[in-house]
Amino acid sequence: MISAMNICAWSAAAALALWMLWDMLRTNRSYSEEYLTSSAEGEIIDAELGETTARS
Amino acid sequence: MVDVAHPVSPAAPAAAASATPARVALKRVLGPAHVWGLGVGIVLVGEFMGWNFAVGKGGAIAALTACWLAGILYTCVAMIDSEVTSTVAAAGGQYAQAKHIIGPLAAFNVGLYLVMAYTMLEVSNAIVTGDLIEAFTHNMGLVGELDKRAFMVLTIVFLAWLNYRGVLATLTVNYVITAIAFSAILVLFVAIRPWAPGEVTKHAELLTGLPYGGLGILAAMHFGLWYYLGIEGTTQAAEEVRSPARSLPLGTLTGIMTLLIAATLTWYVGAGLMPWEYLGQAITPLYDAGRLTGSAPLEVFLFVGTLFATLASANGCINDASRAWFAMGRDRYMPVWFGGVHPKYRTPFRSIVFFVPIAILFAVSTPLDQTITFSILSGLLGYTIMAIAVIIFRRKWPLGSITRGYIHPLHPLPAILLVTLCAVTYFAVFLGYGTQLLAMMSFYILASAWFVLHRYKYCRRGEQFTMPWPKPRGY
Repeated sequence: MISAMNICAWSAAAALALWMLWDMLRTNRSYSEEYLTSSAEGEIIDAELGETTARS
Repeated sequence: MVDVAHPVSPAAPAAAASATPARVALKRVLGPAHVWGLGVGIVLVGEFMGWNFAVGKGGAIAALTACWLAGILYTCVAMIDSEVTSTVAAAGGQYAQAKHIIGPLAAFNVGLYLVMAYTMLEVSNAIVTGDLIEAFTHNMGLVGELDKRAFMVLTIVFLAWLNYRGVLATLTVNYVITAIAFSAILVLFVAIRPWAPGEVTKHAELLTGLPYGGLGILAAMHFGLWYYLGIEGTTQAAEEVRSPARSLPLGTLTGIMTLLIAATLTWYVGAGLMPWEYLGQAITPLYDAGRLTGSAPLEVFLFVGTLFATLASANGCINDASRAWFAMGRDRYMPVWFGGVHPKYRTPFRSIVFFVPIAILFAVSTPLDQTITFSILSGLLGYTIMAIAVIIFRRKWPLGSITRGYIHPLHPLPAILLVTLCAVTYFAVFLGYGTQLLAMMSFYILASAWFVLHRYKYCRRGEQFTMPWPKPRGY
């Protein structure tokens, strides 16, 4: 039982870590660096617009 | 994928939302409840474990004194933070505040304090989660040896994954599990029948004064911070709340009120059920208190509360460390690569992933008391700069010169109290962990030299100051 728990924990951790790595690499390749780092400090986006974009 | 074009006209939000994406920004979707969940979530684990080491330093009365003195310290932190953050609504929290109010070197140091404090706290929580699950399987009588490292790593990776996928889900989870953990404290308090002293609790017999005299109160201040350490993390959500000027002060101040209540109830329960000699070295004091009541459902609830508090703390720490690192990357205090935002999830995905291997490395190799002490010291350094910053802030931009979402009362008394209590706590930490204190100070001095001599030439010196404020008085 305990050994199965250990294996499950290692497997889940590895799967999630690999997914994050894969998604990060895919995102880095799909978008320009300029776009990915285009965020600016203190950008006050209207709350209603923020919610609209969040829902869509 | 939907992005927010910038700048946008408030009159035509629908058109703007469908416009060609020009920029990508963090998602503004959080409310005051999320801010409360973030701040209290990071801290509440300190009520389930850690605070009781203050009892070991000076007895139960000294721990209560430290609890309330640290409460004053953190009330000052919360009030000062609320005022400054309601005007500097930017990711990075105290880092952005120090940058705009004091200058780049102070900001660089504050950014490092934040990252170090939250990452070490995350590591501590991962270690405790491994210990808790091991204890649970042992209590259940399961045969075999649990690999604690597997559960430490899973905790870090799972919570990083949650953070990677979006801030709304992350902090909604934090809000729910923090509320459950807080309710566990309330239920335990009711279960010991506080209206009938002597029936379940034995304060009259167990409170034995100050076994180490007044010095015990001073020594207890070190661990007294555990009751509240991390409440200042609410400001890291500044760029993701819908209404920073309202949500941040509301979430932060209700958070510190919650913690003051939780801390006092926790002390009352612990000191009334266990002798100070045991309480001062217990690993999970509230869980032990639950077992002492003899109620099996309460014991299970306290185990769940302890686990949830630990996970909420680690979750909030990942959120905060990544925002601070992201903000430093965006300003080029660190490589600009870390300033990237995920176009779909709208999170600082590179900063989140960057800290995963670092946290795992510390979790499997560093003792718990060391990681906690690193976290406390980094937090203390940050509070000291915060007190200096608010005095400069009020002098450069007096009331009425810029719009503030919240104005803290009795200025400069909170700042003076904060500096004084920080000085007392430095001395308390020096008494127990002098070597670590000096080692950390040396590290930050070396890092500052690296920043001044090498890194600062890469910063965009003018563009980093974005607040639409008037010129400071005297300039």
